[in-house]
Amino acid sequence: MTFSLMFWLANVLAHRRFDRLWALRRLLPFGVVLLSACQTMQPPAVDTVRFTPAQATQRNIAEPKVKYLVRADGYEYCARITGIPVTPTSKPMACAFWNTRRRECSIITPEETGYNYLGHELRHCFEGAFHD
Amino acid sequence: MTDCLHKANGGGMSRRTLLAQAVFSLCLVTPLGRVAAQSAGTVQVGFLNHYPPFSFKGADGTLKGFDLDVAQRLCAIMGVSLVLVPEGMAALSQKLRAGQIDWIGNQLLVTPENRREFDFVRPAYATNQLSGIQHEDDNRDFLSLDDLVGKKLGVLAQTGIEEQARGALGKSVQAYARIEDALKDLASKKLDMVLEESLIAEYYIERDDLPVRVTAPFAPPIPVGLAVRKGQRETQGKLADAVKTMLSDGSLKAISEKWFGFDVSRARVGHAMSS
Repeated sequence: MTFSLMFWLANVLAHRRFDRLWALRRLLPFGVVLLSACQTMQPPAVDTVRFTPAQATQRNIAEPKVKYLVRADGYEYCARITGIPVTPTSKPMACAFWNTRRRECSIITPEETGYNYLGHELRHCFEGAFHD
Repeated sequence: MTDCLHKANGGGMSRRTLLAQAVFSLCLVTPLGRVAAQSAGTVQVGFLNHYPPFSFKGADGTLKGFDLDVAQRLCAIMGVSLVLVPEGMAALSQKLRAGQIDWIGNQLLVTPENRREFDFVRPAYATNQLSGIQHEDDNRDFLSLDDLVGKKLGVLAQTGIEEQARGALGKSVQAYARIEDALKDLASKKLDMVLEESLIAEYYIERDDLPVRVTAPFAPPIPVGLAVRKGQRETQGKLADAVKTMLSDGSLKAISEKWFGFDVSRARVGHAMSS
């Protein structure tokens, strides 16, 4: 996809009848594509606000043993275990699963992630399902 | 791989799915004359004879199980007496259609097909999910069938899970007639992993004190609910209210801990989304 866009852009720039108006018309869709890509990188609203952590006695697991797994198939795995599909406009960016009885929690992210996603999943490890 | 497991879990392959399918297929039978199940202050609830840990006969021959304890609590909340109707799947379906029982006490899969035949009570009261089970000394991370290539995987025989696992892993998949035997082999380190519904595994781990643990989910939570006869809005509403009460007053937590060792009403997966 990225290669195709670069190839198309190179074609546009190398066009013989290159002029500003023509280039603007041609480049406009490319700009829109870039904008939507940035939009998908916006953190979820729940991650942009401050919250009051649950007290230890109110947590799902008061002191979890946390494992952090970075997976090449991170998006696909999180989609598979949550049932939330990967679409052009949204996808699960990270996920966590926990074993309450054994007080264990695993966080899964793809190979590139953000502090907000990791922090969000860490909260799951303590508080269980705190949203949805 | 993902799609395969989704189908295996949600598309008609697990034991719970087989239950749902069998019930659905029997619903195509011509309905019998409906007889009112509910007399004053009494409800008749159908349970599968052998569906451990949800409903099964103990050594003394009496019916017991997690779903049975839940039904008793629901009836206490509703102020009615519970009459148990243990049957096979075929009879349960027929009796529900005929109005001879008020609801099926085992949660069924909420599929489009089943929704056309039954009304479902929401919310569900237990989260169940196809998951890996590994020895408690084993810290390897198996999150997909691809991770299990060359490893020994135990599954329940003649299920969709076996079919999908064999397709991906071939002869390294060992099928068992009873999942408890697979878990015992896992405890003896004869297997690398067992794939099974998390609640069924948790029950045997708790009951037999096995040195194994439920690890990574392989599919999304199984959507289930109590099924009532189509159009029985009053029963559906009363049951839904009773389930909400049971979830909020802590009584389900106590029943959960008795059978599984923890509160099974709470999800065991979470996620962060982009938008």
